[in-house]
Amino acid sequence: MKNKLKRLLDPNISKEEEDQIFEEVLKRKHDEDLRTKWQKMLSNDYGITRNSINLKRKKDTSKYIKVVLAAAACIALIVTLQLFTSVESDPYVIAQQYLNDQEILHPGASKGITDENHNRILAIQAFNTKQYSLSIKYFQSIKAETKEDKYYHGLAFLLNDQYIEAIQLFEMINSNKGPFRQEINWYQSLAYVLNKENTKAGILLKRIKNSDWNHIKAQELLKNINKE
Amino acid sequence: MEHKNFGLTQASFEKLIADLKRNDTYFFEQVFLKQYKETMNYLCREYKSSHEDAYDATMDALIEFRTRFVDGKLQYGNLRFLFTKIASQMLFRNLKKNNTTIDGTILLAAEEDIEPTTSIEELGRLNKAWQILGDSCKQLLTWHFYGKMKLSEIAEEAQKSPATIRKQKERCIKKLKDQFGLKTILKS
Repeated sequence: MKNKLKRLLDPNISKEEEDQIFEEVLKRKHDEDLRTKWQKMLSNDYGITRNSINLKRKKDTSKYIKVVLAAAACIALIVTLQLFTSVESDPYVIAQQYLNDQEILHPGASKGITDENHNRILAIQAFNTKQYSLSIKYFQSIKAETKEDKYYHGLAFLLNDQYIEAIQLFEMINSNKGPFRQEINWYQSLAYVLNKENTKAGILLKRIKNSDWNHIKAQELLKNINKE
Repeated sequence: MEHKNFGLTQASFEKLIADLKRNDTYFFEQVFLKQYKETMNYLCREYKSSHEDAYDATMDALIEFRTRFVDGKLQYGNLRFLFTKIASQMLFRNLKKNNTTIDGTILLAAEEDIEPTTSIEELGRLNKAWQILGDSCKQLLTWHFYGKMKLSEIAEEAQKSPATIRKQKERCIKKLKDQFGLKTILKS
């Protein structure tokens, strides 16, 4: 090529030879330009380089990153599963779930009660519209609360997240007999759990018999309390 | 059929050639750079080639393919097979040029292999001279010498008479030679 380029400077060179040399040298130049351009494109756009060590390092780095990511994903999964499992078996969460699952409504005034207290009516209306604070206020205004009033008053506390007040009321009216015994045992147990008094909850849950309302749920809750 | 031709239709095959003649390599790159890794893998798998040798051979095949396109030596048929074949030929040619057998045994270097080092130096001077040229000269000489376009085709493209283009080519060559001669004199 060196000689050919020098040949171009010869004043006696023919047009044909001149064209031939230009064709050759410009091809060389443009081919080199394309090689440079494509090398960059291959490296930048396709990750292909001539240096296999770089490629290997890149592959190794990529492999390392993949391993780290996979390990991180596994750890995250384990933590999530543990968290999920622990959350799922947390008595507090279960109690909250049981409380939310069932819609609790007041059936209205008991048969036989003729002297309807205005506050009772308002308390019941508020209770059934889930205005528990307002319901509590009206229940407290009833001069002579019946056992039914107290039970729903206690439920209003429980549903208003006032667990201590709910427990105090349920403890007051809970007995081995009476029309609300099964219900009070159940909701009082939930109130204990939600108030983080699992020992008391466990004792009460054991009192819920096979034939009693929510016996299966009570056993499930008891099982998870005993796990702790 | 299109699979054998890297997804090119007959029409796109024609367009690719027309683009290359004008030194527009965008379409060519879109089609062929995608095949680079596949071709390298083929050379490494079939001939136990090293990564570097496969890379060089595939690059040489790309350059050769461009040349054959503009020379009108490639037909729409089975470009995939031909490209792989040329890459294989380039691999063996390079190994022979480097006096290296396929299993890596290095033979005595031939004296003629020293020549390209000097050519690169000369190529540098040509590049510098090339930079002095105006864009219209660069385009004309590139289309004609590298794209193998006839002066009449360039004239048609430029909407000028062939005589005007011939005259322009002469002026461009003189300018390039003057620049190259000047640089050669200054160098020596």
